Amino acid sequence: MREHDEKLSIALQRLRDGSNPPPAQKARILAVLQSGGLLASEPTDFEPAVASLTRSGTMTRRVSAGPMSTRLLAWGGLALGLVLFAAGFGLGRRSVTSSPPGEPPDLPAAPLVVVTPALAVPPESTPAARLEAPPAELLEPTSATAKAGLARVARRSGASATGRAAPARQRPKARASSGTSLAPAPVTLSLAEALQLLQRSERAIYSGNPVWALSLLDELDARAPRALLREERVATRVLALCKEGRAADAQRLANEARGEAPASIYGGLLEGGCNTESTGAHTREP
Amino acid sequence: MTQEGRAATQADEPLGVGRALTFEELYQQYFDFTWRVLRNLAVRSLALEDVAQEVWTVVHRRLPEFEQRSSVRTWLFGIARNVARNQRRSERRHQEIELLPDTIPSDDADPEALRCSRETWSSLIRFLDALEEQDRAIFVCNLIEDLSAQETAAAVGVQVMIVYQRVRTLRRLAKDWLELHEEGSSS
Repeated sequence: MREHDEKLSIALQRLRDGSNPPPAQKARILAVLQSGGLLASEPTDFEPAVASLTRSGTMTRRVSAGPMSTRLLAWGGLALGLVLFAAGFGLGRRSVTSSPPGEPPDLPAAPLVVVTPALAVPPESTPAARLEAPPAELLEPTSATAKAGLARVARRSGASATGRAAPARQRPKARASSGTSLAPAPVTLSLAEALQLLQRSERAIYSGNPVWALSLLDELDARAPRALLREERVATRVLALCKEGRAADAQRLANEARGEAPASIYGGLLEGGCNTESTGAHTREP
Repeated sequence: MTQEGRAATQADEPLGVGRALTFEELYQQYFDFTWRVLRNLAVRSLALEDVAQEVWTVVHRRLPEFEQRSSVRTWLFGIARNVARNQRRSERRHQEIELLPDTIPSDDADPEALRCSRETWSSLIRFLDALEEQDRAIFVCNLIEDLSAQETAAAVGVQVMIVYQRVRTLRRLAKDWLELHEEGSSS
């Protein structure tokens, strides 16, 4: 357990240290804010206005800015858009802002402004794309628990675990496969679902229905990975058994749990068994 | 006082106490904080720059209203959380695939240590992904950014006691999660 305390501390530290922005990005955003007139104007009139260009002019977005300069820019952009639209209309009534898939390749190149989907996806070979791929060990675990954990994460994020880092070209395929799948849902509970089930079980105990609480715990044991909320599950089961009048079973389970996790935060409850004042020893999860 | 000296002082006491806050000061000192918060609140790497820009646009707009009744970080966290939430809603509509952050920090020279820390780090990112939005906000605020329980409560909008309870639970869950994935990768 102490080892995992250290691992958690290290991982948290890494999240702290490694999530800082590159200085160039920090400077670039400040420059964009300044160029939009944001910092030059007094914060008295904030009309949503202009499209400012980021990412080398590839993506448009709204920025609050000084009223006069932004209006000029907005009108300029509108005029340019109208001209370009007219040009595109005259050249065959085609859209000038995007290129739908399957469009004929003989589009006139020069007068068109193409809004590149900057957020679409990096090329497959970029270092970023390589780094975004989860480690292979996590993608193809050998144990059932790890597979179940990954399946749950994938279900929650709406993508298959192996499809997380898939390049854009493969995205339609991934969507198609997930969209057409009518297979039964995985049996593994998510963390939130497990927590919810545990809370329901606790409520059942406190409302005097230990049998129902035990059946909820059985369901939790069957559907959640073994390590997930393990100590909480055992502590709740001890309480339920006590409430049901099965003191010997509760004591046996408590002894086993103490042997398994001597430093458990539920040590007081486990040590006292059914003699413990349950509400005081067992911290109720929010 | 040098810039660094001033920053060090201001890290211990709220910025701008006794005088008006300037946007530039806030930006220089707290931009990294908002960036980390956005990143750990599941804003995709490729959208971070735009979302961060939006956060600081909001900061500028609302700065005159900021009365320093809460700490600067609490206030900024609230703004970043709202913008991140809106961005996620928008992305959900467009069915974007969420990606892991694009850099994995490590100063380990040993390849084995690097592999282990990378796995631990990836597991923790996945753990964050599995949390409900409010729990994730508490985790980021308190356990990653080291805001106090009082600040976390104010930033997330829950009672202090709830923060204490959830932090304890989240810590336990995170350790269980790391253990689970360790079992998975070692077997």
